[in-house]
Amino acid sequence: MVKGLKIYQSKWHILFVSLLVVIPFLFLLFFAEISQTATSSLLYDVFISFVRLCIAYGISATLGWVLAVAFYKGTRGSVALPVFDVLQSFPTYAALPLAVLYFGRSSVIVVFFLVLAIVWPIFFSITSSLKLIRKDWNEAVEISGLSGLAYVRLFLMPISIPGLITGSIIGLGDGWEALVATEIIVGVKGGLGGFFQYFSSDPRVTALGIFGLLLIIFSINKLVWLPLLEWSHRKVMD
Amino acid sequence: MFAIKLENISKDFDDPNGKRVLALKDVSMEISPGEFFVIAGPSGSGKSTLLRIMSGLEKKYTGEVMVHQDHSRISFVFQQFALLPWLTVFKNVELGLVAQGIPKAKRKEKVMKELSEFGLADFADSYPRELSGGMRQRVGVARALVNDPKIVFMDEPFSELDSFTAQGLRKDLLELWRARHPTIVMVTHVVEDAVELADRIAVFTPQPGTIKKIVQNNLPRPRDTRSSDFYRLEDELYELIKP
Repeated sequence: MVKGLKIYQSKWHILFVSLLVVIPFLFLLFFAEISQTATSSLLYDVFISFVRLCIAYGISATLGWVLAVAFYKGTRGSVALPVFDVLQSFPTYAALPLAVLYFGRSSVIVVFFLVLAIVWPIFFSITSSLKLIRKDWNEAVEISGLSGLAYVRLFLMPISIPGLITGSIIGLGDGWEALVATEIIVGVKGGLGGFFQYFSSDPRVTALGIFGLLLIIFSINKLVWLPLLEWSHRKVMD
Repeated sequence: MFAIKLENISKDFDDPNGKRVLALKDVSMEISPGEFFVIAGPSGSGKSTLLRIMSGLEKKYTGEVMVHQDHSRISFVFQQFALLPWLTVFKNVELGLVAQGIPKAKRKEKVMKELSEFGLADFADSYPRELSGGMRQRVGVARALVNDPKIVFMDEPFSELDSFTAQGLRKDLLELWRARHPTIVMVTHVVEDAVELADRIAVFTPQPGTIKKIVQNNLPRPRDTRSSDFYRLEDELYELIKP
């Protein structure tokens, strides 16, 4: 658990948080029964999609942070930011069939297009965090002579965290949405996209599936991102 | 011998309306090693700009700043403390030592010694937001002194503090200056601070900032802030500073 963060306010809070872990699993079991799918097969699909999303998120968080640090200020920034703004509006789905044609139906394509969906909110949120650096903080660090890895670890990383977390919440929201669509369009084996496509003619299973997905997203948000967001603002803001 | 020597320092910038403003014009002076030197003047006289030029924080100017090679280790105390809110008091003070690559054990020893001097040892693990303004500035001063600087620049270090807290910090600062004898260059617009602390006081005129007069402060230390000589020097400075 994050140091110094009071997540659990009462026994009821602990119970509620525990339910957030248990309920999605119970729902998956129930859902497997309803859709007459083998539980292992459904868990596998959820797991594969989740792994793709995690890999795409890891790449996006790293890339978004590096780009933000490189371009948040100076002439480089004033040139690059409008370009990135155009790039984030690029209609990625329009290019998906072409990518499949050239590179085949692989998980790499899914991850690549997920990165395109997730990286921009992270990049712009971290950029806005970095732009809020107070001038005297910068000067204090400059006078101290801090540089290299120590500068990154003690200054740039901590100040990026609120932006990284806000961007992650928005980016992963976009990511979950893009995940199913990309898996369907690419037609990749395994994953929630294939599952939803298979049951596309059954509105009851589709609706329950969407509900289950929302339940998972809600639980992850409540368990991970919202506490982190609160912690990061408390930690970094003066 | 000088600690810092300035020759014909001028600095201009664009104001928010795009108009060219001359902030400093042909400022020349020398500050001696171990001297407590105060720059005083009204708002807009370029005091803080000059301090930033001397410390190397401001890089665009004309003229020459010479810092004696034996005095290249400098530090800065900021008006609004400039403590990094995500670091504890200990880690804030430790920053400069980390930058110098000093081993961890030695860093800990130096930081704790400095915090003890400022009565902050019990707050080593606190975050800046948990401290009062006075304590924050003590951390700011401790951070500035922990790497034994030869020159300490201070930009209105007491202006964010209430008068009682400021008085305590001034007393501590004078004790530390007497014990370690770094060169201190402090900017202030408070005449009482200048008279109480300084060996010499450079009075600046506004727009453009130029030296009106450098006043020698020969009042004996420790200074009696209620003596007639103290008031006389205060009056002299007020006369020089007022428009």
